[in-house]
Amino acid sequence: MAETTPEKTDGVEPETHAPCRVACPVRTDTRGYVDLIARGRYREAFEKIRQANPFPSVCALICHHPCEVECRRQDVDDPVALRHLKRFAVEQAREYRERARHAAEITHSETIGVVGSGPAGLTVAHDCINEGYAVTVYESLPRAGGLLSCSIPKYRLPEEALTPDLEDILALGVEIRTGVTVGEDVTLQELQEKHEAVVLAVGLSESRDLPLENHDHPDVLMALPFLCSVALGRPPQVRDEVIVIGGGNVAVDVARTCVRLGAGTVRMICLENEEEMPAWEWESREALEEGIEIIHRRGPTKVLIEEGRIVGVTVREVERVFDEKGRFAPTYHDDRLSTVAGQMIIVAIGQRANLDLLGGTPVRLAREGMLQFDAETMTTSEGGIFACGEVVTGPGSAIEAVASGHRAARAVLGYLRTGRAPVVEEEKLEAVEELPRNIIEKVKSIPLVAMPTLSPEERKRSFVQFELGYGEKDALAEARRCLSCAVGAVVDEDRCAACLTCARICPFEVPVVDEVARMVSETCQSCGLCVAECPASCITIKRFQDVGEIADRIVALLQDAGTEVTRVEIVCSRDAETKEKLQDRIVKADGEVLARVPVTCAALAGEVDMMKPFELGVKAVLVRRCRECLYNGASKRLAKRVGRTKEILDAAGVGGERLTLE
Amino acid sequence: MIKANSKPLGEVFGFIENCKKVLVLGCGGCATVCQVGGEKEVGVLAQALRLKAGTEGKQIEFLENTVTRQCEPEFVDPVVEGLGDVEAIVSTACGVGVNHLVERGCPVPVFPGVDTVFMGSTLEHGEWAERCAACGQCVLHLTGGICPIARCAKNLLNGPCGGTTEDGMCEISTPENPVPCAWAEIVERMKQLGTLQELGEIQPPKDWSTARDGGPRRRVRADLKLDRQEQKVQS
Amino acid sequence: MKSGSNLEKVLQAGHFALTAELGPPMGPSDEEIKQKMEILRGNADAFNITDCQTAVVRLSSIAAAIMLVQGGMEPVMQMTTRDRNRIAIQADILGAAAFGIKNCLCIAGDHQKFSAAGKLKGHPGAKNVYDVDSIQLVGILKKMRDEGLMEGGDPLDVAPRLFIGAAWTPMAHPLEFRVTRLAKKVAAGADFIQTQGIYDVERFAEIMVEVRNLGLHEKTAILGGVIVPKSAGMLRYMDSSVAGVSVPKALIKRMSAAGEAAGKDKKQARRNQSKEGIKIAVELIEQLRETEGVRGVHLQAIEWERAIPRIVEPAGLLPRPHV
Repeated sequence: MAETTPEKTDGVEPETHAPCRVACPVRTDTRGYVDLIARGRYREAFEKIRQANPFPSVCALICHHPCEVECRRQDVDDPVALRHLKRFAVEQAREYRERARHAAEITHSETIGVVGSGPAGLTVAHDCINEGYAVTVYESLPRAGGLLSCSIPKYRLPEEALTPDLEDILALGVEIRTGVTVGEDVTLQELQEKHEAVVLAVGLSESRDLPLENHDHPDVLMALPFLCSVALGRPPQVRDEVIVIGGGNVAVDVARTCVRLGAGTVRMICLENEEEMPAWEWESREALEEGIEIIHRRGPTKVLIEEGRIVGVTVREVERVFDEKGRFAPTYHDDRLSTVAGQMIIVAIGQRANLDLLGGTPVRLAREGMLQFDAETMTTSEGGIFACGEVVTGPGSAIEAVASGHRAARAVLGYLRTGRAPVVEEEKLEAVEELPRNIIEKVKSIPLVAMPTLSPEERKRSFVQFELGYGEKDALAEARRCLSCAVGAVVDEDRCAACLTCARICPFEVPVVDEVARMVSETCQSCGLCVAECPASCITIKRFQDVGEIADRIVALLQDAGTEVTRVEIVCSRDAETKEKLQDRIVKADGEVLARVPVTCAALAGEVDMMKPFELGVKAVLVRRCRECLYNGASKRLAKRVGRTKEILDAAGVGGERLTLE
Repeated sequence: MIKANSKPLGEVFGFIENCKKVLVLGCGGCATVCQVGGEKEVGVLAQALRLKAGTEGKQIEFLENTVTRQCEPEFVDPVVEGLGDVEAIVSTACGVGVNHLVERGCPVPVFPGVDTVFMGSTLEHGEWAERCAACGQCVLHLTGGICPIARCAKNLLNGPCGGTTEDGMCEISTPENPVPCAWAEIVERMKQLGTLQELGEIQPPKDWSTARDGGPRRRVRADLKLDRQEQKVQS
Repeated sequence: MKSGSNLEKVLQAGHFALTAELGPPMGPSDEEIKQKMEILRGNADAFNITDCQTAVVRLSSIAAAIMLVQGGMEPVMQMTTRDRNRIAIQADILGAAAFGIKNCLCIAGDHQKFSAAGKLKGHPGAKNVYDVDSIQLVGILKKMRDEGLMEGGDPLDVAPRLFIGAAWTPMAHPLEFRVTRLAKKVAAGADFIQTQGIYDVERFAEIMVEVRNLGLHEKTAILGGVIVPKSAGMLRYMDSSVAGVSVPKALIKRMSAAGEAAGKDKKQARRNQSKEGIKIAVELIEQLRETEGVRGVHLQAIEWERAIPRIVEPAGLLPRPHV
């Protein structure tokens, strides 16, 4: 990241973005929704999430959160728990979401057929119907959702988490025809005749088999059918000792499902070592916590059967998994054999697409199980037939499927408007540079708010979602850990007098002043102290663009109060534990009527903000600091500013004692 | 640059207490840099005056504006021309700004919002010190670059008086207002430069006619300025 | 003979010269001046009239000096550059000369801020002049006397006859420049030098070695300054707060001991300290007299003129020579 120089145009630096957003496959404005949570505006936070992603509820639980991997806070302590915050916003918006559902207006005569109702297919449907096109989705399973509904275990993604996302899409007017297998119940050609565009989003619905000796034994199961039968409420009887072959996320899902189905011992066999293992690190950690054994660097050769029953698997030691070029090409020590005991085997070594529906159609295959596909236009070899999701990207996470769906939708929409599939480019965003060392040292550490979870013992016993979710206090505390990357100070160069005030008072030594002040976006922490101090009033903070001046907020609040306000309080919101405390509001207490204006840092309060209430007849003004300020020097500067304002109030005949600082 | 202090609020209010509409006019130049009269301080003064008017039971409307520099005709003329029913201006520029507004034909009274104090530099954020007295004949080449006119309380030109304290402070220095002895600094500096012996030379009485003592000063660059005739030709 | 003043004559004759200070009153009181004159008469070769010392308004040094001349005593008129520009200074010098004033001590003068440093309100808000500095003033007087020219170059009808003095603070910061400063004053035309009060004669003697090396003691007459100590408190104040004055600890101790000897009797303590102070002054005079290159002393008993006769007598400086 550091090696790429941002392109410069006309001396203006290109806009940079928070790395969490850049890392998100759908470019969710992560920082934006975290900031809205921190300000108690949960519904808006939810809307921001949904703007980029029609599966907010699903992703709040199962997203592999690349945003957190890029979070710059990790250089200070731990990354912000973005997925947990997303879940909080989604949960807060539950009722609002139900109320706000509405059908999309169909304004075009052309229609779109989508094969597959997984995250990719439904994203296409969602995007296209919102543009006024009627969409029909064909799903072979009895329920919508694709792998979300039938392969992700309920302890990770309970039904009630998937339902609201599906309901939103259905409410738009998308028709989902479940139990309809394209290629059997209806042909692709028929879909082509019926719809102006068809999108294949069939996913990877079949497990790859492993042709071991004796693999045709009835207690050798395939991962996806196994998970699907559990999901549909028809779980197979598991034996006491279960062997899961594979080291990916599906293998872990299978193993943990077996634990919950009552298996005594579950052993995973995978070719890779701990680091190479493809499952997400947290998934395998949680599996270990639940007592699952993971046997690394072994490859199965034979299913051992005694008296018609499986007793174990013969494994050989792995010499290496990847060749010199890093390609998957395992080699073994054929002489180093051992036995892993177990009475049931579930194979989870990968998935593949079922492309039977293409039989007899002109849609061509590239190689076994893969479509011939143009990634730039999201089209297959046949005009008007598009594809997206895992069937073209290979195995990935839900959010990647959504991203793929968005692109396919853009291609389809372009095609329907012009008759030609346009090149759909990925949205390129420039991430803000890494936090420099000197800033890392200056940023105060705030401990991560831990997600309350069920204990491994408790969660082993059920399919209940084991992460319990943040309470409001937790979410606010965690949201405030966000460093607000790339939404810091901006200078109006026309008014800047290059007085150096900002450079001298910035707790993070951000501004560089030559002809005018320049704010270095990768270092700015958006605290806003410079705004309060700038003698030319020429600095604004992008983060606060929608907040408004404190004085204006006070005026608005007093106007709406409908009663005489005795005291105005400008309060640092950092200690707030409820959203009520984050809103401008009138509070009645002890015969007093207070107008309370929360601010992200009390040091944002300027002289005019502290004086304005008196002009409007208020008797007293209180400025309250938080317990421990995040910004070096801010508290002292505020105290000096309050001192000066008191003197002015004395001189104005108002009386400085009416202004107090806590 | 030029440094100034805010005038006491009561004094400024006294200037305009009988007006109905007052413009507080800031300056984006020196007054902004020394934190006395830029956009922010215009806001603070206007707000303070509003409060004062309130406690005095007066109905006065205060407008706020800040121009790039009050010492330039092009920047102040639009203000002077667009005053409408404004009855007075309080300028937070240095004294130059007030004079200049009047000179540019401001039809209403212009009052100073600040006391202009000196030309100086920033010692640190919030502290400034006088460094030039604009005497019109610079002697800094004689004194190691440290000005005895601006920085010696007695304008001495031949070395320190007997009042320098052991720690190199001027005799007028107090703990609240420490004043380093300019001559102690000059001697130290010239010692460093190896030119201390130059101070042995007697400096004759200074010609102050180029300073304020010679009357108000005007500077003309004949090569830049067109005379009336030339101006006519140009237009 | 440059001026024909008594002070000049005493010095030229090789006597150890003695001047004493007389501070004019804060009112138009000729009585007070006359009283002080009678106390001091015969006890020094010439009498320094301060020029609004510490910037406190007092009867003008010119007027007081005229009174001395008229009373048959010789004044050393002090002239600061604080309150007059070169026009006023020259006019006053001409006037003073017309009244027979022959000695003029050229000083910059205390800053007006000092006028409010003590119990008085003073005039700290006054505008100071400092058109010229003390060295330039010495030069102006020399030019008037020797070339018959005003500072601006116009000729004088008659050149004033002046014995030109300047002050010197040998032990103030920056030390390395103090001898140069003396040299400049001498080069500018100082006929005599009156030093800041000296308590640490040992250190002063060291500086005098440097002065002698430059031959300055021969080009000018250096009069060592002696400020009569009144109390231990005064010595402590002088040590800590008066620039260029350092008082050895032993002296302060001695003074304290004298006060403490009186026990709880405060009056007696004051008397004891006055006595001790006079003794110390006598000793200082003797030590200065032994310092090579010192050609006289200048005695200051601030607002305590009565102490002067009690010092010069035991110091063996009486009677003053008639030259």
